[in-house]
Amino acid sequence: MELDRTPLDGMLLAVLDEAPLHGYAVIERIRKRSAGGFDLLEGTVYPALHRLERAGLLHATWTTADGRRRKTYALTRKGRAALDRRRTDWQAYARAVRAVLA
Amino acid sequence: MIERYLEELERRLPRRGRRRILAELEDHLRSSAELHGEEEAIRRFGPPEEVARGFRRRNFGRIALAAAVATMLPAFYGLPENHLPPATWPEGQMPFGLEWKRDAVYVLAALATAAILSGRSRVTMLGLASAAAASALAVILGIEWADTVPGTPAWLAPAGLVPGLLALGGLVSYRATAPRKQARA
Repeated sequence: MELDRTPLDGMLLAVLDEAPLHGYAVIERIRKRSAGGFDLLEGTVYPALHRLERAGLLHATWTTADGRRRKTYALTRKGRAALDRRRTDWQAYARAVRAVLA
Repeated sequence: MIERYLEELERRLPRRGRRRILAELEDHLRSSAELHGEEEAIRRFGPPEEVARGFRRRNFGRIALAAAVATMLPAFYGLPENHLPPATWPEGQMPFGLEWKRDAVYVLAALATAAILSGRSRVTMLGLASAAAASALAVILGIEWADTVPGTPAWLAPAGLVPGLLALGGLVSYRATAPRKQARA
């Protein structure tokens, strides 16, 4: 099992697994689901979204909303496979840590 | 306030894709400002220098790969041959041992060039490996050429090392700057 240095990538993929969202909605979803546990500096999330897009894990489309251009991200098939791997790895990691701390 | 923030951010963003990045981030800031006000939206977003830093990609691997391919360009244009003593074989009848190595260098260099144009990280790694292999073959070719053609200048074989050293440097820096994983569990 190998783990990412930060869990941000996995969280972004997990949120986008539910539905395509634009960046602001992704950040709000993470904040809500973590009950404020992850209160991210919002601007720093976008480089991660772009990196995942370049890696082929996300697909982005541009629309117009409220007179502004809006970029919406969706999970690709490759992104879904990456998310499944991360979920498995994190569950194994959590089990291992719990066993040591118990 | 958001306009001023975006101006600050624009100055710090990399040129590539700047307008699209700004459009996306402006949408975020204005959506956030509708709920929290402009000042709070900017505070939650983060200092412009910190946001812009995340978009600056230091891909030394691609720079090294481009440099390695550029140093192979003289071979494409036949520059080494213009400075070599005449071949000891009739035109069009290069010994097979030299010919296949020369063709392989061209193919590997073409693959390295395609890797640069792809823009994808993993393909860049393959491109660097391809450039290093082309370089190794070029050195061997240079040595064998010198053995076959009297008077071949001493710089021919070592010159083939240049793209390989650049490619290996790129591989090392790419691995050094790639995101690290935590220890296995």
